[in-house]
Order: sequence, then structure tokens, then C-alpha cells
Amino acid sequence: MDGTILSQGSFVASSVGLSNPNPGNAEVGQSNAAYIQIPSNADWMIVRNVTQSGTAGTSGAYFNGVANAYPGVEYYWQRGMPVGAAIVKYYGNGSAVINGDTFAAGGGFTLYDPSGQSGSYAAPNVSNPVATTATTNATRPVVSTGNTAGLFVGAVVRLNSTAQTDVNGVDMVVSAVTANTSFELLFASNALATAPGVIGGAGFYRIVNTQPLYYPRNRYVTNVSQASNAVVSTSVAHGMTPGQEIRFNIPGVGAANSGMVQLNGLSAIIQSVVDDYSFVINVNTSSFSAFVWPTAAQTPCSFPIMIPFGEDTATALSSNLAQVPSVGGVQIFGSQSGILADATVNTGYLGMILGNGGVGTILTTPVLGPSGSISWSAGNVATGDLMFWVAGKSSYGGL
Amino acid sequence: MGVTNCTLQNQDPVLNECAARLGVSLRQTEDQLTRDMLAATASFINCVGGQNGDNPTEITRSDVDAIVRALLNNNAYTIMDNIEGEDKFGTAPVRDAYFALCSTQLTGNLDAVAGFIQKNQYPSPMNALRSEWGSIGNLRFLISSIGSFIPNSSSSGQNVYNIFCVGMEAYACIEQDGYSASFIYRPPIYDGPLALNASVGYKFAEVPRITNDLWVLNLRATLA
Repeated sequence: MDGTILSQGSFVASSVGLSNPNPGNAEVGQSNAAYIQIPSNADWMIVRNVTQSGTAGTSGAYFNGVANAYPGVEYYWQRGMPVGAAIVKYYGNGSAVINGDTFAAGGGFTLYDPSGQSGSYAAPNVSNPVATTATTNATRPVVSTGNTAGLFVGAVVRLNSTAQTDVNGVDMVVSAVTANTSFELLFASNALATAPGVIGGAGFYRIVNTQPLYYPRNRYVTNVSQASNAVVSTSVAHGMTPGQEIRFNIPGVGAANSGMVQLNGLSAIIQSVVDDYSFVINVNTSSFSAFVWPTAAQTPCSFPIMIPFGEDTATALSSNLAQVPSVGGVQIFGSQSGILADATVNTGYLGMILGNGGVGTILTTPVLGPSGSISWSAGNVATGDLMFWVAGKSSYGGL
Repeated sequence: MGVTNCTLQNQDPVLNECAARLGVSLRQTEDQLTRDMLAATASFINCVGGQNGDNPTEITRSDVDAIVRALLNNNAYTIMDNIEGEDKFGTAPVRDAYFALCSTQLTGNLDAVAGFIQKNQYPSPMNALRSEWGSIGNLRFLISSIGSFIPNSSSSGQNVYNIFCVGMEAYACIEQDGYSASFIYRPPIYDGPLALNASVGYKFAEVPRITNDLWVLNLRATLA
């Protein structure tokens, strides 16, 4: 007996930030991980892929750039199973014959609890370190590693490598992943203003699974343009909205100097949001010094940051419909919209992270995960799978 | 034989103990939420004066001076009055001060900072708070086992400890729905149809909020 079903829902697999893995051809590929809110936590969960249940199976779906994965049709997890585990069912190649497997090394279900009170049963706030061999000296550093498990476009990582001390410890978004070879940091819109100044040696990366509990959040500033309305870029998604006010802390004393010291201490009103990683402010920086990212030689130092502190009501009222704090098109949990978009809110919730797949224990090749898959047209238009889920609590028994 | 009427009074020790523990839990949760709000929202600078080779470094006197100077430049009021010097061996006067809220892990490093005054060296130690560790310049350090840190976020992958340096009225905890906290006890007869179990718990509705971003600065440090 399953106990009482607490909740159910559906979602469409997300392709935000993804591109056709084989451009110009109709393909199936992995989606972004999905976060499901389950207020009273869950002891078990089932996810069914409605789209793929009505489609003959294929062994040629793309996973991390390689066309060797099966899309799944059903996924099951219950408490006691390892983090990232799932019992998965998928159709055989070209058929509707159901096969079964499990994920050998994650990619399935992971409890989400940013409070950390679920201990080892949930995703840790910061993952275990994974070895890296080198990091390029570029405004979008490329990190070489033999293990990219768990990384995806949009994931946030924290680096620690020898030599490149001005990138270490600064949370940065992953913009591209080459399976088990390397990953790239930062997008074109939020690249570092200047290269770190030195190649990074061997070290580690850690995946940052949770963002600070409260919104709005301070952020590292990676670049500020010299323009009548400057464009500000941040190292991870900012979640800001037009009308919100921020203040800059730009190091400019001693060894550390981020160039545009005229911006230090100034407040600014956000005029518009360019994307998740950059926005336009009402400050004319045309005559300011060029913004630079601190070099490794300047460390130890503080980094340029922005601090949210309020909202300009006049601007807010003129752009009311745009005031939805969001990342990847999804409103930040618990945040207000409209002229109260700047409100300080606790964004924490209990839920489940649905992974985008991993290697099957029997198959030894990947099965796409409970976050669903993306069908790409020859014109590179993405269509996400329709997914349905149920989750519940069990009333009796143990792990 | 006579019968004496008496009233039996029973202070339920289990419920008393639960109430005491829940009270601690409530206030500790309140602290944790306020801590997490400050970590997410407040402005921060790194300690850079130390010698441990990390970024940020361990806390030093120059870092304390820098943060005090920044708060003074931002016109933040100190929270605590000065403690006037007295003619007692081993004591020193204490300046009027901002609060610095930090982790107990930092106590050894604080001891090593130039100009550190242990609270037992205050002219009148009774003026020190129970959670206070001591003072440096115009900062009085309050420590907690649930003090804030960011795991593995220093240059060398060590934990970075947040030291929230706050002036008067820099942040507030705003009560929602007209109350701060409720302690709720339901005896068995009200808790279930078979009156088998009692339940006890608390709930509170409040939100922490920075009231002036210039009056709270997070000084980030690693351990020496």
C-alpha cells in the first residue's frame, strides 16, 4: 500500500539554455533538471513521461553530446534509495517493449532541502569535490576534468585550482559541457571583463546545489559596460527585475582594483533585464574607467559585487508587468511580483530534483532522466516532453 | 475514620521539558533565518590583511579597522556604549561598539588579533553579554555555534566565515499576522479521536529584513 498521495502535478521538460545537439537534424536530447515543490516532503515519487509513452523507443537520444541514450517512460523512487537513484522503465529501440534498469551513478531523484536538515538523504548544499586538471586563462574559462557527472548548462560551480586564485571560490554558471572532458564557465553576456591573468592548474570543482535562502541576493559582478546606460553582468543568475535598486561595492584601494572605481558606493535603478545574467542600469558610465576583473596577482582581495537594497516605485510602476523575479523563465519560489518584487523573502522549500539522466546499470549507456527529454526539429525548435508526477508519504515501515 | 480532601497538583515534567526545548528551538530557528538573510543580502568584503595565503585571509586588525571605518563613513550608530576604564589590574576600557556576529570557530583567530580585549578584561565584565567573546577596536564580537559560513568558498577551498558587523537598527525582524510566536499544546482528548497522543509545538511568522544596507557589512574570513 502506497499510503496517502500528497500531491500530483505535471510539467513540460525544460530546454532553457539548451541547443540542438545535432543542429539541422531532428533529434531527441536531454532536458534541464526539474525542481518540484512537495511541501510536506515525500517518501516516494513516480514520474511518467506521457510524450515518450506514446512514442516508439530510440537508442539514439543525445546525452551530454553523445547519441547513445534511451528516453525513459517511467521513473520510481522511495526513501531509502541512494541520492540520485531511480528505478527506470524505457522502451526498446524502435518498439514499445518495456525494459527496466536503474541509474548506476545518479541522474534520477534527489530530495531538495536547502535547510540541510535532511542530511545525507538530500542533495548537499555543495557537492563533493571533483578533480580538475587545468583552467584556461580566458574571460570564459574552460575547465578540464575527466568527470562531468551532474553538470548541466545553468549549473553553478565553485572552483579551487592552483594559480587561478581570482576565480577560485567565486560561484559561476556553467555555459557548456563536453562530457567527461571539460566544461565552460559563463555565457557571452556575463563573461569576465578581463581574463584571470594566469592559467589554472590542477584542482577541484564543486557543484553548488542551493542558492542563498533569501531573495534578493548579493552577486559578484563580472563586468560593467561603459555606456550611457551601463549593462551589468553577474557570475550567476541575478533574478532582479526592473525598478529594483542596487548598490555597488567596487574594490579600488591597494592591490585590488576593479577599474571602474567611480561606481563604488553608487546606487542604481535597474531599467531592464537583458537576460538571467545581465541587466541595464540608469547610471552613465561612459566617462568611468574600464571595468576589470581582479587578477590572480592581486589576491587576496575583495571582489566587485552588487547589493540589492530596495525599489524605485516610479520605475516599478512603469514596468509593472516585467516585475516577476525569475530565473530560466520560472518565478523564484516565494518571491513577490509587481511593485513588491524587491521584498525580502525566504525562497526555501522542500521538494525533489528530477535529474536529466545517467548511465543505466544494465545498459551501461545512458537513459534520459525524470526531468524528461527534448525533441528538436530540423529547424532546431525545441519541444519538451509532457511529464506527470505523483508523490506521497508512507504511513508505516522503515528504510 | 475521617477523610481529608486534597488537591493533587502535578507539574508534568515531560511537557515542561518539551516547552523548554521548543523555546530554544524557536529562538535558534529565528537566529538561523536572520543569519541566512544577512548572508544572502548584505554587502561583503574579504579580509585581506592576514598571512594564511588564502582569499579571504584570517581576520586581522587592519580588516577590523577597515570595516569600522566603512560603518563610520556610512553614519552607522554604534549599538553598545563604551565601558569606562577603572583602576583594576589587567583591564582595559572598551570603546563604544558595533556588534560583530560570527561563528564560535573564529574564537582562536579573534584571540590573536592585535588589540583584542577578552570580556573578562573589561573593567566591568558584568556589562558583557553572555554570547560575547571580546572586543577589537569598535567591534564587540558575539559568537554562536550556528554562526554563518559558506562551505569551501575560499581560494583554497576552505570554509569562509561570515562576520556580520552591524550598526544600530541595521536590520529588523518584522512580525507578520499580528503575532511573533505561538506555543501550541493539544492534550490527548483534543488531539485524536482515541485520545492516544498529545501534541505540542510552536509556530511563528516573521521576516528578517535589512533596514539600511549601509549599516551592515559582512566581513568574510578564513581560519588561520
